[in-house]
Amino acid sequence: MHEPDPLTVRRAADGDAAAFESLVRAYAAPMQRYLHHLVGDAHAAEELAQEAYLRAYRRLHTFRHDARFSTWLFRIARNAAFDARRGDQRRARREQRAAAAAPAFVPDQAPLGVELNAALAALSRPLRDAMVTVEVLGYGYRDAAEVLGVPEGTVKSRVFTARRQLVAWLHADDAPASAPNEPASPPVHDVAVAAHEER
Amino acid sequence: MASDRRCEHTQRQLSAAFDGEPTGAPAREHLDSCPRCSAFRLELGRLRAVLREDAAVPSGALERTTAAVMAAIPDASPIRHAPRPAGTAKRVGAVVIALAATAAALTASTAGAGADLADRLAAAQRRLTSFAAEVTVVEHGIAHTGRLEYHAPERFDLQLGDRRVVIADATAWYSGPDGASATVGRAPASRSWVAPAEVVLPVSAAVVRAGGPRVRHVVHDGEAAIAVTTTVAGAGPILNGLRPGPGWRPLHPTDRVELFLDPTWLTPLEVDVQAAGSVDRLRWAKRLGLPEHAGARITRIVLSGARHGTTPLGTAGPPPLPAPPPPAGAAVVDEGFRATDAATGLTPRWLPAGFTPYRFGTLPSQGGTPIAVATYTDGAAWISVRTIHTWRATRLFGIDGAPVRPLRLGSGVGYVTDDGNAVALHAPGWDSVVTGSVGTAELVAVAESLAEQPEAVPASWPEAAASTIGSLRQADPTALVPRAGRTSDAAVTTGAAITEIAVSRGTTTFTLSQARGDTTPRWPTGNETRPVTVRATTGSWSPDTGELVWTEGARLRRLQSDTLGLSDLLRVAADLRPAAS
Repeated sequence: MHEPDPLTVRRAADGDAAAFESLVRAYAAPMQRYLHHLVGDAHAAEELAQEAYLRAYRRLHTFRHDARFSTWLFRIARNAAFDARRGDQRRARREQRAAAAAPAFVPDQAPLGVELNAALAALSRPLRDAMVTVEVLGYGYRDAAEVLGVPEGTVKSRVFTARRQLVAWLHADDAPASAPNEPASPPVHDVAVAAHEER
Repeated sequence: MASDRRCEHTQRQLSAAFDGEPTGAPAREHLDSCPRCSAFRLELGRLRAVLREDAAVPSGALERTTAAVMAAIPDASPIRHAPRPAGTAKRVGAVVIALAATAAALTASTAGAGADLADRLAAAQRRLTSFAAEVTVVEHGIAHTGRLEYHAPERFDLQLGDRRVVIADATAWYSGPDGASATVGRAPASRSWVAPAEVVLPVSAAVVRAGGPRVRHVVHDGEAAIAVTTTVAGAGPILNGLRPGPGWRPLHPTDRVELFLDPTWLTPLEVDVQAAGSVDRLRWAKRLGLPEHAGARITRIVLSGARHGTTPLGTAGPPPLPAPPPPAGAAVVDEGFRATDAATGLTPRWLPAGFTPYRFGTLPSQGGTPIAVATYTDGAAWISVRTIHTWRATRLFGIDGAPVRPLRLGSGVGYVTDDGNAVALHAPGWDSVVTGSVGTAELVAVAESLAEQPEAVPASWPEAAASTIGSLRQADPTALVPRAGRTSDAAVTTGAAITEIAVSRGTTTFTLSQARGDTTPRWPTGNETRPVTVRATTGSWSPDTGELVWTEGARLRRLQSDTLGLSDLLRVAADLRPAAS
């Protein structure tokens, strides 16, 4: 992830709207993709991106100019997405359960992206956040840890677990067929994930 | 077991190495001999490629985001700002300043737009008397261009390529490459053709309730606009009205619709349809041989160069719109409306301000006396009262069996349909229905002012079982009901064997049927029925019939919708609560 000219950030923090606009434009595309993968909805992502930028604008005076601007910005974005989801956690869990059934019914010729998005939606929130932060933003574990607010080892472990689950889902068709009336397995619970995390 | 641990260790190493972390090299001999680990290694690259490239950015999203953020900055209240240099304001640029001013004005003029847009659209129908615009419809990469002209309350002329629809008083006709058809003797505000006002001011698409469309202020093509996100099911009238005749590409009811409205007039600027991403939608597209991917824009309708008119039209009705006769050879159907000089049925003693008589007449009925039709308009919106004196069927007149909820009207009883678009009345010797393009409250007030007092329907009529959500607390306490906020307008039927709740609000339209004492699983009969988890039990889902069925509390429950997909119905199901709670 590229970093902006520090002078631009300082000017934006001093209230220079043109400087802030250049920051918005610089991160608009990765911001949209990041939030899209976090919340699974392109239009919700668009609204969250606006919210994230406005939060960033209000808090620019708190930015430590020796830190990386992009990780600071994407942490705000991730928190905005988290706040939006926290509003109705029960609903989020229901959506996860609903989505968990989806990969088994993806048509044979569905594009991988569609299939993968369904599988991503079925991941627990911590796994999805870690996976998206590393894969979509291209951060290493240290920067991703800064965005997510968790230890570096936790990021590493969550990304690995997410990859294993995604690969398993994508290869589900290779496994023996399950009984037709067997309900879909629930997604791995956060507690089970936490037990294997490296600290 | 040892092999599993070996695989996990190897795959952890592969994962970390793939992210550029220093790690010991995975054992080559294990990788070469283990298909699972080899596949894992291959998938790492594929996952990354898809994740980095796949997230489709909606058309114009980046520009919209930038413009919206910059427009909102003056109101973002930064906690601390250094004094702005004198020249900075100029550098910000006229566009930002203009957008900010527009956004501020917009906020002031449309405060609470999400909650009241439907009301504002209904109000706009009362002041807009004419509208004209160039129309472009793009599908499959082909642009169809033409022109729309509208004169309130229901004159409509859309020419789009080689297709044309004309509605003018008692005549309506269509002509296109597939042939021509016409209706004569058309009743005022007949629903047999496109509802012109719904195309120009799409009230039903913008009905905002829980679970309904989202409304927000945006900058669209550099101009302020109101964006309504709904579905094809919710935007049916405008999509059908602007894509006349057969031959257009099929749209799935759950496809997403972005409707951009002029912030001043609330008339449409653009209608975008994007393919939904559900598995059922994918299957549907595959069956039809449609190649689009989720999120792809599949239909785009642009209305440009709009002209709006608000000339008061008085009581004489709108000025004549040149209405060419139907093309020769058109298949003609006579709806049977015959104008009369005065009303021959019930007439209201109260009308909304500005409403005056529009057209009176009669329609034939099967085996009975004619149906008396009285219509009223303020030059833009309309209200219709239909009355029959010899209704012989054993159900309410004029609503085609739609679910209803009972409503007290003075000392009598009326019945409002679940969509709020009609009030049906019954009394010995007459039956009547009030419809119109005004709000439900005004329809109810008109119905209440009719000269006769309505009564409850006979016990043998299906509407005799009509009830309300609140009454289920005693009548059927183990029934599940939608959560509060969605239920006030629900139509409830409590029969001896089944309780049925119909909810119709914008795109949130569904029916919940609950058998009494029946636990026999009767799965849906669609072709692609499959098991799903619903309310922590295993139920069944049929995308063909839109049915979600499960057994809970020794009762068979069935949710059905023609407009909601599985994930939406699962949300509705998850939100249900016992009536007694």
